[in-house]
Amino acid sequence: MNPPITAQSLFQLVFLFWVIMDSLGTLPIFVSLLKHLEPSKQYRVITRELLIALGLMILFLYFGQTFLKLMQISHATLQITGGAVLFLLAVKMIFSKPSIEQKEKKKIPKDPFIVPLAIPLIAGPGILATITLYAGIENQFTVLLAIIIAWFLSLVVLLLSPFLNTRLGVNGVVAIERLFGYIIVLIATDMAYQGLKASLT
Amino acid sequence: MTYFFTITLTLFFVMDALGNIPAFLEVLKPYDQKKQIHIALRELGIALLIMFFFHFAGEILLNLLGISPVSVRLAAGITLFLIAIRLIFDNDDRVTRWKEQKPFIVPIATPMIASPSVLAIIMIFAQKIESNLVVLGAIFVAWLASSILFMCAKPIYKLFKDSGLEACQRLMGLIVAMIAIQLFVDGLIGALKS
Repeated sequence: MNPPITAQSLFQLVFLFWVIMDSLGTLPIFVSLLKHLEPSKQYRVITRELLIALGLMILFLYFGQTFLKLMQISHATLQITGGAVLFLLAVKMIFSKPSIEQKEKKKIPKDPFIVPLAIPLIAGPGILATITLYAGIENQFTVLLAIIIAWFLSLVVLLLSPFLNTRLGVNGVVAIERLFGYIIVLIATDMAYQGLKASLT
Repeated sequence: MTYFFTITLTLFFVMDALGNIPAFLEVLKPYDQKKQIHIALRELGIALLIMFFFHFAGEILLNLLGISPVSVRLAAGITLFLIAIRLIFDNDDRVTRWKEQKPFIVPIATPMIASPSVLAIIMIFAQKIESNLVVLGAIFVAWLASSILFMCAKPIYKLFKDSGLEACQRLMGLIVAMIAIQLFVDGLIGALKS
């Protein structure tokens, strides 16, 4: 089963992945973690972390399905789980308080490697479940393309992070994250609904 | 055979050896190398016995109460899902919770390895499958895998650090969530059909 590549599904997926990667919401954490590094080093770290995240996402794109088959987890189940996890993440985004950032900040080494920036901030459980899910529905190439485009957009946002952070301010970032949270609630509910419908019929 | 695989993986992920490694090392810190290995082996053995005990206790209990397999699946699904959420979103500091305790049964054998969640799942699986051997085998294999991780705790900790272990724990949580939903949906379909 290999559905054709359509511009519409590509656009949908890019938007979906970009929203779930939540580069704007994680922006303050990136800024606060990398504050003490020189600007040129900052860009290097951001690019490195994002490349690692991209690698992991592509890994899930190709091997997620194999793993599910091995575990005997049906596609509908993944849909429901993806929906439930995304829903909870979205609720966290909607009701997030600055105190969450404080917690993340506490245990960070000087040069944050892989954790927490690449995993789980960019390549978190939500996006990985979503990628595995769409790897089974859409054309794999479309998904790959969508991941790369969404990833690139996130990279641009994060490379502009020092600038965006001062421009938007704390309240601006919180407002945007909240808005994304509401969008993800919709996506998550629909995902869980489709899964439930599929498994009950 | 397929159930064997599912149960083994479920138990292994819920035992959450990787997530428990920082706390495990913290508890054993005051002892020298030889004593540490001795304590670790003893506690792991005790944990296995506790799990086996709960398997038989669970079988007797569920038979006594006459709970239908459908309810067992629904209950298992919901319980596991809640456990998975804790694995995915949990941020609490387990390391400090067990500080300054002499490790005998508590805290390593239980609740670290044979945690309440693991015991609950073992009791639930006890009725789901006919053959005792499958569940006991699954418990043993999951325990063995966790034991190996615990015995290699130091190098693993050096490699992953606190935050790396936490990331692993979150990904494992995602898998547990999927197993949970699968059980729940199985139960739901069973409930709607009958």
